[in-house]
Amino acid sequence: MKKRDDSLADLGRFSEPALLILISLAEGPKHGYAMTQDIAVVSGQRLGPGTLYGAIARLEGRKWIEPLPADDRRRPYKLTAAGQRVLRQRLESLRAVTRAAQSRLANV
Amino acid sequence: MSKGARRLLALYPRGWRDRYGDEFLALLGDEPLRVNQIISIVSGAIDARFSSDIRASINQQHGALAPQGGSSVTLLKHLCALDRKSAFTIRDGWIGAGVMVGLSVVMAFGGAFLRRQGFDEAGEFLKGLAFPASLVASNHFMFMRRQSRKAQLVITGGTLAILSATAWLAVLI
Repeated sequence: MKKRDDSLADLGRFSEPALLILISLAEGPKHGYAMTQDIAVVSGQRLGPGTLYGAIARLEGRKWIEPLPADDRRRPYKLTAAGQRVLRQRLESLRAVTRAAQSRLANV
Repeated sequence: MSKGARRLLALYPRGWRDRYGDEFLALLGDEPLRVNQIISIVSGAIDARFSSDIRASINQQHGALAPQGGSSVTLLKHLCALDRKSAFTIRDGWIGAGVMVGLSVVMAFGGAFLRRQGFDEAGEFLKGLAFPASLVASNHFMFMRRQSRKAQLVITGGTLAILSATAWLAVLI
């Protein structure tokens, strides 16, 4: 079996929705609807239901998020320690890219 | 919840529906679905059916032990409603092997006997069919053992029917 990569980039086209979900859950546990609302506020993007659950299934499979007991039919998810580590790494690499871009723009 | 949402949920594999179905429907709510939501749900269903990533995730969550094939195998399983675990025991394996060897020998001798009696075409047909038919029949006691009647009928019965037709055509030609 192929070993799973320990980075968000391994999620392909789901890497961005997955990043947004991790950012949303960094605030605290949320169920699917609350995540889409929060992500819309934070990023201006509204994730479709198929995209949201495609990313949730992948994140859960990697144990970067974990489900909590369902509240009625809505199941909240929380960020795991591994998920926090992956999110920090991703934000750090984004920060480096942002610094490089800003430095280049300053020289234009 | 809307009837449309339930119908669209049926596009997802059973394991996925068991795990996420309720919360997915709760997310969609009672409002009529918008076009972009429908597109997202359909593309999500295709992803759930064909992505090894999602399959691995669902299997991991269910603790499934049955080996999984590629996308085409998954599609075939879906078409034939093969959703139950297909693991078989050592005893099932011995029974299947016995059926394969036993039926091959019986059919081959049956074919030889028919030829001696002057039924050349029927004898050739039976001899030609002996091994492939026995192989398919043995699967009925192994891989197909815990599957639904419908799946057994389609896969075992259908394959035997196709084999018989081609064997008979081979004799006639």
